[in-house]
Amino acid sequence: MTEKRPEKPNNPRGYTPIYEKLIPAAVILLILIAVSMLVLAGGIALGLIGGG
Amino acid sequence: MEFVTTTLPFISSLISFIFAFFVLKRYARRKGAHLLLWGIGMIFYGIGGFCEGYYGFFGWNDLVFRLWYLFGAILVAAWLGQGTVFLLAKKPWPQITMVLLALGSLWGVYKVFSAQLDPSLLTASVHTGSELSGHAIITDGVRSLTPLFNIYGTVTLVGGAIWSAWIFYRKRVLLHRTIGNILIAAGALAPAFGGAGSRFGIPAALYIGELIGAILMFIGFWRATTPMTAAQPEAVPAVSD
Repeated sequence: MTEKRPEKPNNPRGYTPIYEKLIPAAVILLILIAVSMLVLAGGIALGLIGGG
Repeated sequence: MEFVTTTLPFISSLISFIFAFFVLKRYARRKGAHLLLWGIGMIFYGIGGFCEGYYGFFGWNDLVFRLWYLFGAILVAAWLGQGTVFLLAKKPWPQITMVLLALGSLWGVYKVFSAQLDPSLLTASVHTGSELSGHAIITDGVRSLTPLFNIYGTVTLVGGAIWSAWIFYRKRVLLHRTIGNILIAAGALAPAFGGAGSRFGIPAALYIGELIGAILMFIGFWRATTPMTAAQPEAVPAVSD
């Protein structure tokens, strides 16, 4: 008895090419925004910018 | 503009409380200090939004302002971030930072409720008093607490979510968690982004940022906790001799 196994899809875990592009871009963008916000908050903490 | 400073914060508040309900419901079922802390953090978020809406509709109230500053400006990000610390960090860091956060929060309660306020100073701010801001606090050593708590909250909550997303992405596993964590990080940054806009004179930017933040974090949490249904490969009939 032989059984033909189903073909393995290219993206077995759902990481399609669009996700492959979007996820790193989103992560980099978020890091940049987070760092900017931290610099701003640091400026406030040091008294360089008016407090919240 | 009135809608943005009255109804919109109430919508943020409602979304936050609903989000908190779902997080705490999950905590009741599964336990885990991170869920409890996230639930508490979202209740703080909701209190902050409620106070902003109250100010928009009814004007200045001493107690409402203090509650807003304590929960909405000082504590919310740090308590949400503490949940992420419990999820990701190893013992004894979660416990040590929790003690420090609890003590810091008590200090914050004392400082906020003993501070002298002058509501007329709100109109001296860049957004002409249409939004609540710390400008109404006269006493020293209160407003300086805010960036300290918020830096801790941003580093832990946003940093933790980005780090988790990157780990899942690198291993190409659990796509729903990758997407969920990216949305949580974006949502956690939205109020900070709005606050920065507000600081530079964009009216109601903070309130809009808070609404976007609540929505994105809610969707992110739902996405991260709900596995995606993988596309099933077409069934190939077995061939037998």
